[in-house]
Amino acid sequence: MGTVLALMELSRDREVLPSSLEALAVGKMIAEKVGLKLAALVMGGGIEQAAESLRAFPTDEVLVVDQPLLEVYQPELYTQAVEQVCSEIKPDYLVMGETFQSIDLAPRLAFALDSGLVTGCVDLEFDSGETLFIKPVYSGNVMAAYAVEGVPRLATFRSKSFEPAKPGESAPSPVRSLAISLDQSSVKIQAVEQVLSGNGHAQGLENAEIVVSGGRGLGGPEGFEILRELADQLGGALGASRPPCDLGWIEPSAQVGITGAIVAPDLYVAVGISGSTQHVGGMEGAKTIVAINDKEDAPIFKIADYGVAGDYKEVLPQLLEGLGRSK
Amino acid sequence: MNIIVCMKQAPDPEGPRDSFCINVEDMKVEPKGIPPALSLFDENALEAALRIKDADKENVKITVLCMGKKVSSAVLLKALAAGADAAVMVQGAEYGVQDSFSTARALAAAVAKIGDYDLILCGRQASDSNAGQTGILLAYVLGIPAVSLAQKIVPDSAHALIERVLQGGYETVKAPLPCLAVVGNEAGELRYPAMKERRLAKKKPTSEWAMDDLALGGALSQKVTLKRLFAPTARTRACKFVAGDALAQVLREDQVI
Repeated sequence: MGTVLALMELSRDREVLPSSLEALAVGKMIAEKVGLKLAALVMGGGIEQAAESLRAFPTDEVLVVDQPLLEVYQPELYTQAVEQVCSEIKPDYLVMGETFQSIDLAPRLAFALDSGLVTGCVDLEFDSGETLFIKPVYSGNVMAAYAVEGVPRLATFRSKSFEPAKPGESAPSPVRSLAISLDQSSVKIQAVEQVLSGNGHAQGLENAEIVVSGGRGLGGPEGFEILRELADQLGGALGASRPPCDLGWIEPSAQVGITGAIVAPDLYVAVGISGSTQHVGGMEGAKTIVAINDKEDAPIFKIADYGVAGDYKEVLPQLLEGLGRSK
Repeated sequence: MNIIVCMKQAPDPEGPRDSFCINVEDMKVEPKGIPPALSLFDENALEAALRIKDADKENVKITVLCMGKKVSSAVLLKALAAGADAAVMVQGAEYGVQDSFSTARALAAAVAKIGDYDLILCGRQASDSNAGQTGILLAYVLGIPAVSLAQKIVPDSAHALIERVLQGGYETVKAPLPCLAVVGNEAGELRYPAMKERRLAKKKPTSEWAMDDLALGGALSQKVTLKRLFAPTARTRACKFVAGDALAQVLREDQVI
């Protein structure tokens, strides 16, 4: 019986990422449909707790590669490690959440394992013995279904596309440590320094119940000051569409969209955002969308529940004042 | 220093959704009424190359490599006007529906034909397939190191210091040259060319090759096969327009906040 291998990614405080638990759920779905076993693979340095926490989820096995060299993601070493695990386990599928790490790792694995990869999948279809990987193309204007040749079939899954796996009722899954030998002499890319804030995952943004985002329409970095005020007032997180990040008005990690954070909050307030497909792809899962834009025909209004066609410099002070009034 | 920037031509993804006509039969997207453009993310890669050139105008040469079934000269001209020194376009009818693997192999053959290079830059993903694999695969085919999601690249004679975007920050890595960097959108938007540059662009050297001119060594196998294209479920909402000074009250009444 073959195996679906779900590669788990850890945050810097060594907790399994929500997007990995979504990938684990996808792995379970494939395993059940195709009739395979499901194994979770977790790699890193000093990860006993993460490995233990994974045993609560319904898998056939938790595979652990715990080595000091893997404590921090290094592309060449991680590629070697997964390649060795695959040569031992011989999985039919290898699935991951779509993250900054897997964007880098998955294509390397595709080459190393001589297998096909589909990135950013949002759905699956099982069609007469063939698994089809479904993803948005043309920045979300078209959907495509792909079949993958080679074993293992590789896929990354866009976050928030699937419900995350839930801990099961049954006894903890068996855990197995895999010994691998890493060849450091092949490493060509040397890390010099890391400049990081927070725990390395935009939890603040991705899990916030309220997100307030600004776009090019803010006109400059100073526009984010009043936006921050609104985010604070609502108790939400501050985000942005791509242009302000690219123009340096706000840090890149604030980006919401298909090349940034994918969010699905209860309330999303879009200010000065026109509503490009690339931004909408990262926030259309929000329960309620409020758009403020001075152009009445901005595409963002098509997906908004509430709209204000006006200059944010006038509208936001009014909104702040209205929010400040006794409830 | 020779930099090759791989650029793809793709319809502007910000065109209206109904301009992406899906030919279900032939499994093709036929853009209607939107001109071909440089793939959005490849523009970031070109900008990253131009910033390297800004620091050392005399010694940096940027060659743009554009491959596809048909390459529009207007698109290439934009890259040259922005500041690239030369352009190579590789066209071929047989270059049809291909996956990232076969694209990487074809690009590697084109890079080999261009010859001398220190640095190859690609965008993080094409704005049509959105696969985001070709750059790294190209590096592996060429046997050179790859660094992805680069926001800043500072090369010296033997290495490049590359800032790589991480969740919540970035890391600086050092890679020996030649190497390939997959450039993220954080690298910045492509500069806008002045009129004078546009005129000069027409005089810059442009090579036109066919796929047959490349030493491909046989047919390119594919690992990923397109099986079906379909329209996404249209998600529109009924937008209730309100006045700015009434917004807080309306949201409160509707129990949004």
